Amino acid sequence: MSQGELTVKILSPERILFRGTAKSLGLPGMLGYMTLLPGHAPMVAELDSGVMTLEADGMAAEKLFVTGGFVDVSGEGVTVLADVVEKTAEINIERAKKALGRAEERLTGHKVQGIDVPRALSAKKRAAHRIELAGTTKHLH
Amino acid sequence: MPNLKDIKRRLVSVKNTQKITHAMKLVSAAKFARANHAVIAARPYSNGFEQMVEKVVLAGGETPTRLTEARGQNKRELLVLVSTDRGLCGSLNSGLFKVATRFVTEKANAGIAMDTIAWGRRAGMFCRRVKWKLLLEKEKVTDKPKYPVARGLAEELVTMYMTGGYDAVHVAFVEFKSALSQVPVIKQLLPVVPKEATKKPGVPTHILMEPVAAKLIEPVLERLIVAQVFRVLLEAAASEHGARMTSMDSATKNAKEVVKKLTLQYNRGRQAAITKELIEITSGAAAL
Repeated sequence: MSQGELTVKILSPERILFRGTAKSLGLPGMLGYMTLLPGHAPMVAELDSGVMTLEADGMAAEKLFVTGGFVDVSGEGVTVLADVVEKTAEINIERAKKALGRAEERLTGHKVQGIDVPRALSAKKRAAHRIELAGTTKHLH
Repeated sequence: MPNLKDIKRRLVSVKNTQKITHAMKLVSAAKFARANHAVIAARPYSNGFEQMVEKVVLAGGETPTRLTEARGQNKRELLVLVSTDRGLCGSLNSGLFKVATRFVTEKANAGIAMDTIAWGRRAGMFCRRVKWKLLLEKEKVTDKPKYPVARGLAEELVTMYMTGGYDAVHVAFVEFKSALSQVPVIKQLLPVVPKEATKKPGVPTHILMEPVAAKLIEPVLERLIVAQVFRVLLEAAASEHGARMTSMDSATKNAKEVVKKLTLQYNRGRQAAITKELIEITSGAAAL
């Protein structure tokens, strides 16, 4: 990896989302958001669900939705191994809204007992990020 | 000499069969192309993942986790048999079952009982026929494999492994080499045996881990199992369509041969009948 640029691969189990060079890559880590810049030290980190910001060479910064997985930073570049990656245009906002409603219902917990709280929380988080991301791009157009 | 009418009827029936096998071949070819594409699309991820696992294991030290530590006290193991739902795919399933039978017999000789899970209807049928202990049977598992499905299946296996008192979980499936060659294999899924991590020159062993290595290793291994299950599903799907494509192709070819033979027989019979009639007429005329 040369000093000026970051070689980035964004992979999900089903496809290759991006392969190329970038100026920076922002990721939702388990311990908070981080931004990877060229020359980053080797690292492996677990990812949370959230928004990934990719500043590819010669392109405006693009925001992608990501849930879970890992990022592997090595001398050869950055490899994002995510469970799910969606471009903003691919987000199904209706589905996300429904998921959010479901999760909130579970968390307020009028009817169900013994629910999986962490699971509902992460579902809520995923849905909220999806809606937020899909919402921001709507404004731009 | 069979009746001309019978030959004709058989000829029509073989031709119809040929049409069906040909159509099935075309359908399988389309499905195969998709499955093959999926296998290839999943490759960068699994390669990247393997590299990462190697690093994490190297850095994470030798602390055994609940997914890696060897057990051996229960004398019970679990075998997942991944087959197709439908037949007409050559020796794909029977080849797999043969390998599985050998495996189970070997284990039985070593005093290890084997419980089975069937992914695919054929596997379920087989397990019932040979009277293996069948815990679960699922269908449509390899039908357009999706990652979330693989995750569900993997979680189920991990739970069974953790709570069911099994020493190991194996998976038997048909590995996809090409449309013409599929190899039945059995792989150990659990406990996870990480690839012997070797120190490569130039690769730093001191890498940052977030969260700390000890906490990172479990989610990594859990994901590794999911990735492996996903790969198994993809390979099984590609193998199925590949095998069906080739077997339907050869069925079509065989039908062609049969049609050729029957046509010859039919024409010969017809010619013989005409000759016989002519002889009858001429000899009748000569008798006058």
